[in-house]
Amino acid sequence: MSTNEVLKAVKISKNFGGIQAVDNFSISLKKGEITGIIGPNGAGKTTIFNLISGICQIDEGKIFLEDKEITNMKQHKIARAGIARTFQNIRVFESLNVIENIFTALDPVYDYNFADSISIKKRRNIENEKHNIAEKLLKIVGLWKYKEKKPKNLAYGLQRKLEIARALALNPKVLLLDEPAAGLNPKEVSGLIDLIKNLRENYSFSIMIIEHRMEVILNLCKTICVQNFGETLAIGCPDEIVNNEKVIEAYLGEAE
Amino acid sequence: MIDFLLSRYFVSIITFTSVTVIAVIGIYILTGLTGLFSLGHGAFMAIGAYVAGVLMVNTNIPFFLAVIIALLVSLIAGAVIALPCIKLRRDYIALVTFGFGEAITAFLRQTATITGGASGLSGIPAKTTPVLAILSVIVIIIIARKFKFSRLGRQCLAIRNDELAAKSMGINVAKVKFKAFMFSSAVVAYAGILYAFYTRYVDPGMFGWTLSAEWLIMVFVGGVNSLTGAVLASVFLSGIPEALRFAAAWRVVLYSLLILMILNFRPKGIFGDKEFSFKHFGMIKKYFKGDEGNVN
Repeated sequence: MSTNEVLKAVKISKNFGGIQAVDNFSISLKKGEITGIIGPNGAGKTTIFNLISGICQIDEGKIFLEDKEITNMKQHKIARAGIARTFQNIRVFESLNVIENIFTALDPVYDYNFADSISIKKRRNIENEKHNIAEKLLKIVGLWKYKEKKPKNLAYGLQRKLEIARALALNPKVLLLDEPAAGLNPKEVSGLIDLIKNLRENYSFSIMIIEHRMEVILNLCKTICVQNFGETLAIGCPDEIVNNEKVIEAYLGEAE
Repeated sequence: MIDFLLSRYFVSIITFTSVTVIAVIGIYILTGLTGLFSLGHGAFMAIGAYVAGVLMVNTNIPFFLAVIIALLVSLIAGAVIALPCIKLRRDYIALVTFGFGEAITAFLRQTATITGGASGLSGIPAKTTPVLAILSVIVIIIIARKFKFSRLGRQCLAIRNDELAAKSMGINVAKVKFKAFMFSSAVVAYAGILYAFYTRYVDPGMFGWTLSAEWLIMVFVGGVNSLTGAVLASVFLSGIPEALRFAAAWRVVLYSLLILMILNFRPKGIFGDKEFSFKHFGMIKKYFKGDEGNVN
């Protein structure tokens, strides 16, 4: 694998009781690049994310993160290896406030053993470091002033940003965003696009986005992959995809 | 007044309430923080009570050693039952623990030569004083509060809110659940030890699933997210049967009605997710000084 490749999926397949949700899907993500996945509902886009992040077991095929194979590893181990994700329906922790939500992702990474926890100085250093990272992340997404608030008291768009910040706290190599713009108003969508652009400039991780809103995809993605009924219809740069006949057919129906 | 405070009746209320508060804190850690339901935690109380009781009746080891051995045995039993439980869905955990609890009481009935069987274990020395009971409550409240606001407590809450998201945040869900289960079984077993060394007599029938269910009710009435709620609800609800003595046979009906009313009007429990904190004193002070505008 070339050093530039961060994530590589080789011919992965998933079958749910006779329905081929994902069929021979292959993709390779380059460092710092944003890749989009589009396709009609039920095309298996979220299943691809579930397979990569370990929520579902893969039937066939292999997934590599840098040089390490992560096929069918336990979900929390994949997360710690560097694959962070957000969810289509927001899944923030309601009982915890904003900054504690970030800490949940930092805790397993900034682990200290029992011996360290006895040394107050060492423990304070680790806690301080965690706090600094959380502060930095919340400032990037613009949630610092709400740090003590419970997520349910935040606007929908802010909850989405919180979920993204929490994923960033894992210090990921790959960030999977599952419909980040769903349910946002046009102003929030343009804010989200700016945020993701900002992340691309400041961090080196690769991003994969599932999205129905084309303005998000066309604004951000260098490569677009079109899925339909579990199969890959087309993969390429935005111009190619927009003019691809198969893609137009899948979205608009067959020309008579 | 002083006569009343020293009376056997009052002392027994204090001790029994303390035992209930400790057990309910154990359940709060499991159900309130981690979101697992157990209908068999009464069995851990039985294990604590019987192991320490049998040791003290049959050997002459010191009390604290009996306590430590009983806690260790409860931890081993906790590990045995937690290992299958952490892989199960929430509702199945309730079933497994239910079976475990009933199995333990059946076991205690069958081993009559050691435990006295259905007729119970008597002759346990009196070691639990009201002071020890109250001190234990205070220490366990402090530990539980520390636990709630620790990294582990945070991970427990994350798991209760959304297990899938917790896993995606790198939390080892099985490991955290296991730790919470062990902690809660040890706390409940400790309540059992205090209980046995106060009543000086225990029988298997005391530790059935109804006891575990009662603790669960207390956690929910107090507010499933609130340690303060769990503690106050257990004090309140274990005091009510005493206050309702005049109603004799109607006691249980009134008790149930009250619980239904509370859960009807406050579905999230009395305290919801609020916690008592010394900060509130500051707010009250500020309020009376008349500069409530600065309270944020």
